[in-house]
Amino acid sequence: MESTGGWPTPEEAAVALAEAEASRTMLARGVVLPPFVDGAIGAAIAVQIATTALGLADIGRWAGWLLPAGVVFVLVAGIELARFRPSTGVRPGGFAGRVVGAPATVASTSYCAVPRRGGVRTGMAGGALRGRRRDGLRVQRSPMAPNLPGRAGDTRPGRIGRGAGRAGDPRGRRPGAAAGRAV
Amino acid sequence: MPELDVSIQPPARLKLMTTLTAVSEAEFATLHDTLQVSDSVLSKHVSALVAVGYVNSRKGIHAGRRTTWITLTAAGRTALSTHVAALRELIAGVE
Repeated sequence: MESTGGWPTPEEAAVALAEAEASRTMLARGVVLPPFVDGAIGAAIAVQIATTALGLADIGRWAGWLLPAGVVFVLVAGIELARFRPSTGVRPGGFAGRVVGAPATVASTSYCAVPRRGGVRTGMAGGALRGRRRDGLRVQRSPMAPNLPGRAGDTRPGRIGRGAGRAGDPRGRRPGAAAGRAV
Repeated sequence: MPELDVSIQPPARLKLMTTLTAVSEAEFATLHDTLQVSDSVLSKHVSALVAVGYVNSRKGIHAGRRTTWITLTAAGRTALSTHVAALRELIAGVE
């Protein structure tokens, strides 16, 4: 069907549109993902998630692995994109942005930025932890509130302060605590 | 009322441009297989559409093999939409 003379009749127009749509559908159906794309990208994302989870659980120890995890994902995504085009003969619109990058584009960018902020957070966390006692009570060190519980040096019974209630340290031990143990 | 575009009127060109709307870029060999036309016919239509600015063609090399990639341009997409609308009106006129 290769007539170009004159305008098409309605029947010819309908046939032309139907054939064009059929060709488009045929091409779209022929586009398939190369093998192991899902598995490779899934594994890369799993590495990211695991590293992030570990990083959140133990910031100082695992934060340094967040950047390599992001690099691993970008590397895997690049390889899969490079594999896709020659194997299918087409480049679908939005494949990189919506299929490969969508699950983790923003996440990868964020993760790559995390180590720098992670160091800051680690320092902040360390500072906060230094201000906590082993029993989890926050030590109040504000000079503006000298009578608040936990002031450094405050060893009055019932107060939370440095040395208060510490095992083996009679200072600050609550009345009756020793008696209770003695009974 | 939208008008028919002479450059897209041959059915093979309409099929070619409609097929290209499904992807961002397609290899010449893939289009050849999909449209089931000879290389020379496809090359002629691609050249004609490149001449009017409806598609772009670029050469590439993959694994030592020369490849040609065809892309639908924005002008081509607009022209195709107008042409298809005109065809639909033509069909609707007798229904």
